[in-house]
Amino acid sequence: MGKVVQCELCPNGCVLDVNQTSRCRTRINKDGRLYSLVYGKPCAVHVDPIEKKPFFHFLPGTKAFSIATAGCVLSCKFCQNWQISQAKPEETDTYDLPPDKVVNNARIYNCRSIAYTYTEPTAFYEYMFDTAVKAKNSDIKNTMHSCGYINEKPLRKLCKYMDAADIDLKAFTEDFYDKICNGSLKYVLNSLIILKEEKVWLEITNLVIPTLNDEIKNINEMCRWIVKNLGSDVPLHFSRFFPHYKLTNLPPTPVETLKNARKTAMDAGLKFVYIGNVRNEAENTYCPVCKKILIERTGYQIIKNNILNGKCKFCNTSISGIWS
Amino acid sequence: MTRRDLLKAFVFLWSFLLLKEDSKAEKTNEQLHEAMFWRRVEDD
Repeated sequence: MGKVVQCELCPNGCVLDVNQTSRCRTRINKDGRLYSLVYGKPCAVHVDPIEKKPFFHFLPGTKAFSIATAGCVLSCKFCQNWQISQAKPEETDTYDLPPDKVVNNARIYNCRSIAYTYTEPTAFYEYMFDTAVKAKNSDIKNTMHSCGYINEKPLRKLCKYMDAADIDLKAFTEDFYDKICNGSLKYVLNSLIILKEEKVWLEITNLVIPTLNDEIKNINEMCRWIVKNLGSDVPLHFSRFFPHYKLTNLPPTPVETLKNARKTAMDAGLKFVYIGNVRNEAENTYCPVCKKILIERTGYQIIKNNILNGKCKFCNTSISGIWS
Repeated sequence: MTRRDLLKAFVFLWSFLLLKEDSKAEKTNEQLHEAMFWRRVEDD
């Protein structure tokens, strides 16, 4: 038996010789065994509003204890956290925060949930998994913001402890995933279906980038796929792009483009469609039946919440989400 | 400075670098946590 190992966590399937590290930079082959380099060593630790993830239908107005380590399974040219997602663990300043301490801190800071976020949580899977198990035992919810680039087996195992997931559906073409992210769309779509099957609360974020993924035809196709495969109740967040990392040559997304995308999504049948990264009325949640404002937001702040026991206060329609 | 002094300095510097490398390796090993979801690749 040799000492070459293959990581089976994500579709990259890195085959590693001794002392080689994975593409995500967080896993190393040491003498024929695979180890995580980032367990208990987050480089980002913050208390955030849950709306920042973004989750709009999951415990609104609560705080999430948010952690990330270095590393990512993809390499998106527009990454907004590239300083840490594309860094090696040793290139970041880290905290010593094992799972127990994360859960304790979440409790101390009155956080209803822990969010595995900022970079790609799949890159710190073991740390996330162990923390999620301890959090669940302490009645603290688990959420993740992920690109969904993970194999089925580890995802299903994680789903037993994950309460909510916000998945970046970065575009709806293989070409975009290949050229801009160095990945593949089909694995992300598969993860979305698995999360739905496993009954994890799901929200989707789509960053609209001028000239790269802003064609209404593709947005329409994406929304119809979501309705057909995940249902019309899945909240969809269209997010405004700002020039970052390797895409500083592109302008910010025009607000009109985002509004067109939202209209397309609603015409396709999605009930809850939001526009993020820009102040506008599409930050609010509207009742799909009586059209009144259910949750009024300004940025990450809740101004008013008209959802009572998971229902519209005005017309009693059930609103999908986890509200308490 | 004699050749002997130079040799001493070289040996000191070399052992310092070796020690530094060793302690770094030790620290890294302490931080390692075995990964989930991997397999050994059989030799062909």
